[in-house]
Amino acid sequence: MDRRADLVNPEADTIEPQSPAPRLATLDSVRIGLVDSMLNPGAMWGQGILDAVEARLVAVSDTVSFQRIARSPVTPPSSSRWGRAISNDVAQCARRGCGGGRGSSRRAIRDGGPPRYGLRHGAGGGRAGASYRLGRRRLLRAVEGADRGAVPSPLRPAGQGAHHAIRVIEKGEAPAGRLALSHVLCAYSLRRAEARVVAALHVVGCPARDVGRDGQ
Amino acid sequence: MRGERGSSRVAESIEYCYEAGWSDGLPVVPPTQHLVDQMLGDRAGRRHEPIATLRPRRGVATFEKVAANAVMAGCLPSYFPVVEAAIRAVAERDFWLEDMVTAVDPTSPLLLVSGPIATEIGMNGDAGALGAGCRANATVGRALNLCLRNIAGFRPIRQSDEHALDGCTIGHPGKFTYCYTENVAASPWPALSLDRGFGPEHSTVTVYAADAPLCLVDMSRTEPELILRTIAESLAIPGTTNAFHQQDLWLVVSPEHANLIADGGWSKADVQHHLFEHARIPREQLLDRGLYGLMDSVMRPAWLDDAEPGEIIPIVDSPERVVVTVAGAPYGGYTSVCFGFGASVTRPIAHSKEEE
Repeated sequence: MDRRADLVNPEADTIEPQSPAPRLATLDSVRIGLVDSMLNPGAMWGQGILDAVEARLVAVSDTVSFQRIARSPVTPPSSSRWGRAISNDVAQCARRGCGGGRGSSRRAIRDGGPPRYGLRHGAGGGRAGASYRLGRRRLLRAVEGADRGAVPSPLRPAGQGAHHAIRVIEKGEAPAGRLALSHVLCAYSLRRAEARVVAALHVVGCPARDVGRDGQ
Repeated sequence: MRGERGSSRVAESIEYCYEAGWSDGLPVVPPTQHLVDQMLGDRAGRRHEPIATLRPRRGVATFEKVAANAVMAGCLPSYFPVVEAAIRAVAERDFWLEDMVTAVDPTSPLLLVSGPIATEIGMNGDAGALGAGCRANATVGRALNLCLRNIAGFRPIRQSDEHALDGCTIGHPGKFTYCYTENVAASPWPALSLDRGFGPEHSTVTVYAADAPLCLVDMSRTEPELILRTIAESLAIPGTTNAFHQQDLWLVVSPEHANLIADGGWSKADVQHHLFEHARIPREQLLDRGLYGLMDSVMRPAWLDDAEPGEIIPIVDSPERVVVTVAGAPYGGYTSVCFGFGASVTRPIAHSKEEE
């Protein structure tokens, strides 16, 4: 006989739906903030990635414009100062759209709805993956980079992330509305002593009106 | 022969619960319709009514689903109101359920039951309160964990399990069960539920996302300041979540410690203030240690940017964050501390439908 016949399934058979965050239908006339959160701005790796992002987006829409946000390569502020500087505008945008780093992505999804795509590197571990697997899986797709151990250069996974970000932005599926475009990249240190994932996920793009209040 | 067939069928059902992924690793009581109906009692007519939606999977915890998990845990029907209230408590926004479920931290729900129902269902706040041996303690805590496992996605991530969302690195045994009541008779202070505005006639549950308990011993001193010095200095270590995020900190003080401290004229609030003032870590000992570098702008505590060099940083951002409970045998100078994150949440337990 079927052993299940007389058992009550204890698992949830109803999953409460959650609306995804609103998305832009077009990139036309959108102003996108491109944020370089690499720890060593002097090496210019982050700027190189953002150059690629910008070039691809211009090909999609010639009315899209950009605002670069980066630490000064000359006497750059500390990571904590930099985080604070962007936290009230740029990071706020990312947090609500796709989630920032530790902890915030889970609450971001709770509060703002799940993004259609999330970007993460394999080194981000289980927690990021779990965050992106919430609720309605078909609305989410975690784009995973290569395993950290297999990648000698910290630039490579970040570049892969940028490539995926470009594709997502091109499809116009980024969170929209006040959030507009917000995507995330893993930020990597280029210094040996800090060669690990730092501060988890950082912003690639977001609307200028959310980042320009203090004239950045 | 009939007995053998019955035993075999029970064994098969237990094995099926394993195969279905419903178990926490220990054998469960098969949730037959008959046992679930018994668990529901006069709530049977509400079996499909939601109690709460449990993030992050957003599974709907109906009365029947919660009852099925309570049956599996080994609860008696008289425990069900406590489990129901615990479900409502973890679903509160102040309780960081999605963080607890998905984080790499090992936290699990610590459950404190207060008020008359603790006595009515035979909960243990005396010797071994946080240990094994008491059915109510063990099964109520287990029922909550099983509900989270089967409804919220609180089970370790595996490629083969698309509903598993628990990203914990190591975990701790509290993911089986983590539940107790206070030793009110031996405590010099009011129970936690009274601190939180409930009357002595009210029963409540309090939930907190807690790491494993760290047991601190001080057997030789009788002066409150010296006992609390041991505790405060033991709390001020950089490798904890509290050291950086300064959220709730949970204490289980033995009656001996509590009474020695109270005999010195100290209230529970005095203990909270003392630990807030003395369980501190120099700012320089936090930089480049523990969670430093992993805090985003949401979780970024004010001290990280505002503290001056040389400043010492409290492990909670206010005295009220120190949650003081009293439990255990009357003998032994111990205080267990549970680091963790978020806020502890207290909810009333409805004894009957009229009270809901």
